[in-house]
Amino acid sequence: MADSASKAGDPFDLGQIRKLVKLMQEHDLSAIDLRSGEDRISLRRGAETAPQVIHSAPPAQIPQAAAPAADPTAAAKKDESKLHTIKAPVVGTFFLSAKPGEPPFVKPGDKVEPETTVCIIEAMKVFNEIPAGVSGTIVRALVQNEQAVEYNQALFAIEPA
Amino acid sequence: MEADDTFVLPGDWGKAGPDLEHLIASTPLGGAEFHAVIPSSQARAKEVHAQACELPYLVLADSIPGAHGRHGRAWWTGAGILSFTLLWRPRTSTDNASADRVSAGTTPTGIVSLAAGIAVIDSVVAVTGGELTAGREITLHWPNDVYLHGRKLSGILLEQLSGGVLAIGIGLNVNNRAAQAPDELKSLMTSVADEIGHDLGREVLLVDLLRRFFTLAKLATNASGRMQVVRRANELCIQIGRQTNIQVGQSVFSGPCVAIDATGSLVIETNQGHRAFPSGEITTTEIP
Repeated sequence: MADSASKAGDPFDLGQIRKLVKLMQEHDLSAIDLRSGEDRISLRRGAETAPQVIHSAPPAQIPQAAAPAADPTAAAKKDESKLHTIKAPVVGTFFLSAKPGEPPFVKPGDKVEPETTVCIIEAMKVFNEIPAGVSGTIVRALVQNEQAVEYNQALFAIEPA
Repeated sequence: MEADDTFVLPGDWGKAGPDLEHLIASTPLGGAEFHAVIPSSQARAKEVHAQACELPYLVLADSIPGAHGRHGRAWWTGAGILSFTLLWRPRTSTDNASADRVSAGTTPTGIVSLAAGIAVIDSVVAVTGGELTAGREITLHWPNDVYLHGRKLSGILLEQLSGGVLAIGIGLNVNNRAAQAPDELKSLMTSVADEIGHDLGREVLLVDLLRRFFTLAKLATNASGRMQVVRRANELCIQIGRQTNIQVGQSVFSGPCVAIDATGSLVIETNQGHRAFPSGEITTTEIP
């Protein structure tokens, strides 16, 4: 893929930042602080502070929604380990609804079955309806509408039934 | 000349629609249905899919008032258009554990998307005997829109349904005329009849288009065949070598378009290096 031609060692490369955010999410890390020469990138997440990026070089474009939203309550945080994630089976653009202006397929609090469509991912004008894959309750979306998503990227946090 | 309701253009169909048995016998289709008017061939195809049908299955319609393109944009279907949804299940890696994959997470349906556009181009060129392209450039606007000297000739949209089945919606301006279109579309579209000055038999075109599509789709089941499809798409793609802007969500990336890669993604030389886009809205293309 041509993506491999991008600057793999650049800490401000969007792909690198996405990977870091995913790592934080998967391993429930609250902070990452990386330094290379004069470059520094520091990512934080959690209830106390919203996800942020600190940089000593000119800022790169940061995909805001790539990081999960801050936990609203301590109780919610306690249950984080029980949550499952619905992951992207394909790369493409994430859509919360079938058409602009239409209600989203799902919203927090909605109960879903394995075959319930939760979103659409479009790539090369192929619109893929993505099923939940499990029964449960949608807790939150982990990406924003119309955001580019990578293969296996977490799309929704879901509390299994 | 006055309109004659009983006249049927050779190679076309009258109000009763085409001879479906002949259509099925002439192509790899397993089944087909015709509607003079239907709100949406995509929606009807989903109903047919839910009820089970013999694939590949064609939902053909003379008029689709509810036709839509990307992001729900309305698609005008004037009288004489060739418009249909094809239900078809491509072979996937899950059909054969040893089948090669383009790469993890990349679905070969992207190649099918390219193949649909290529089939449309090759078919209209072949059926018009080159008359259509005499002095005109017919191009693929990534991933599968078809343009003739900058005006839209065909739009294609695919939806992945359950069981790996694709609903491939194609609208091809054949005998509908730009003059009949809504004012805002008149200068943006063209049709085969507008260009060659006479109507064309849609059934002849449909049979040829379906055959070409299935030939390309069969090629796309293996890596070397996929590369043939991708090479053809690169030959036809208007963006390649031109300054291209692609919008992904709220971000716009710009740079010269380099190629369509092996996955079907559009590669642009951005200021961060080469980047492959599997998806995005191309907002501007300028000839340098």
